[in-house]
Amino acid sequence: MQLKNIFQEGAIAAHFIAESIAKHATKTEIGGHNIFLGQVRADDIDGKKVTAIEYTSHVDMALEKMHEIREAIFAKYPLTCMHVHHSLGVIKAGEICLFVFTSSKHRKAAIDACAECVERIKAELPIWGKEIFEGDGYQWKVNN
Amino acid sequence: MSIEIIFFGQLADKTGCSNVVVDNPGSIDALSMVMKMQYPNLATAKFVIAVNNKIVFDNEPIEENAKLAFMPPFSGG
Repeated sequence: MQLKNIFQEGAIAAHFIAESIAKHATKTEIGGHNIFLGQVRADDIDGKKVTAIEYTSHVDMALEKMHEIREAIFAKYPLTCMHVHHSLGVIKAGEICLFVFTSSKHRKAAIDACAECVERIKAELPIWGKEIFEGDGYQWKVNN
Repeated sequence: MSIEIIFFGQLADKTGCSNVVVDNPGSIDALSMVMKMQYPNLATAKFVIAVNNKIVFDNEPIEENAKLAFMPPFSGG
C-alpha cells in the first residue's frame, strides 16, 4: 500500500498554499473549504526567545497513523477531499509548519473535519519539536 | 538474537545516542528494565514503546527482527 507522504523538508510556502487552493477550482461540487495553518511562534521562555522549531518524526509510523486518521475522518464526515502537510527540519518563527485543508459540499463538515484532524495530528502523530532559543540552547516543545 | 532500538526526541538527549543494538531480552517489560539500567536518565522520562510502528500498552513478547522505538510525548504541529 502506498501511503500519502505528509512531510516536507522546511517551511510550507504561502504560494504552495495558494496553488493548493487554486487546484480545487475544477472540483465544482465543493461548497466550502476549511484551512488550518500552524505557525511557529516566537515564545518567550524565562527571557529566552524561541527563534525556530526543529521538527523530527518517526516518519513511517507517522504516515501509517495519518492514513488511519484520514480513513476515520472520511468515514465520519462527508468530505470531498483532505490534504495534510507537515514540515520537518528547522522552521523559523513566523513560518508555516502545518497545513490542513478540508473541502466538502457544505461548510460544517469541512470545518469540523479540519478541527478534528488538527487535534488528532497533534495528539497522535510521532513528531517532536525542539524549540531553539536565540543565541544558545533549546527545549523540547510540549503540546497542550 | 539482537534487536535495534531507536530513541526519538528528548530521549536521544537522555541516552546520548539515537539508536542502540541489544540482545533481545524477550519482552517489553524486560526491555524497559534493561534500558533503564543502561541509561539511568530514562528512569524518570515519560515515553511509550512502539513495536513495528504500533504503540504497545501491555507486556508483549518481542519477536526477532522487531523494530523498536522509544518515543517521548508527541509535540507536532
